[in-house]
Amino acid sequence: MDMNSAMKSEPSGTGRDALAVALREARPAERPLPPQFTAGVWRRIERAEAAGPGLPAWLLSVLDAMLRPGRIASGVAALMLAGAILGSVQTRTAARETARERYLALVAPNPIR
Amino acid sequence: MRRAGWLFAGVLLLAAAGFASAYWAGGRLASLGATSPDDLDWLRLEFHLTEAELDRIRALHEAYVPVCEHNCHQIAAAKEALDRLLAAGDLGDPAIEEQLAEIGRLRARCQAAMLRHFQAVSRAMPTEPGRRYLEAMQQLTLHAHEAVEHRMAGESAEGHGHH
Repeated sequence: MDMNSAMKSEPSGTGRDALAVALREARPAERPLPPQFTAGVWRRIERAEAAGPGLPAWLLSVLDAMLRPGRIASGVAALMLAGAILGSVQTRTAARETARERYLALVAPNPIR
Repeated sequence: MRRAGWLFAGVLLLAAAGFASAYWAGGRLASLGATSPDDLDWLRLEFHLTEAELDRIRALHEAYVPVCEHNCHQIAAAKEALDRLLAAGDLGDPAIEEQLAEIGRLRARCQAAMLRHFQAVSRAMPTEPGRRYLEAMQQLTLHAHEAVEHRMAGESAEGHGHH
């Protein structure tokens, strides 16, 4: 029995009820559906509808794993630490190079170098 | 899941802004301690000298700088004289060769003065930094033209090979 006929057999029911009936009737009677099966199917349908056509499943799972408040906070903190260290090191290196050039300009001028 | 996409873009933006601002702040903080008008700053930073060592070197440096300036002026004047001879157009003029020899002599005198000064400074430093300093300065004084000479020698050999 397909979903259309199940929905037709319950004209007053909601789409959710129709799905439940269709799922129940599509399987042999001796093998009952596992608990929360219908809810799981609805969840997947809703997720697929919300995802739209552009985002592949693997990207969704990556986003899902990354977009947790704790991970966001620690990631941003790590980037800020890296930025501060890099900025400090590069500034010190540039300052040392400037100091070197200043010293050499005094003791080893260009006509000799 | 469009909401997740926007959220992700926002997080990326936040992370980029955080990185950039921390980079800027780190640089600013580092520059507060790094900038100094002292001519000997490089020695202090590179060779980790104490104030007493730096004072000894400063005395040597201040005595040497006028000598160095005098040598530089003499070399510059000799080069200007050579330029004038070359501008006259007679490349067979023996004065050109004499002037080239004079420039070479002045350069050698300047290099000798530099080496003496670098050795004196290296002796005012602890042993290992002093050795490093002298090595770097000798390299600068004596071997600066080696790369050019090697390249010219290589080109010359290659050119002869083709003849």
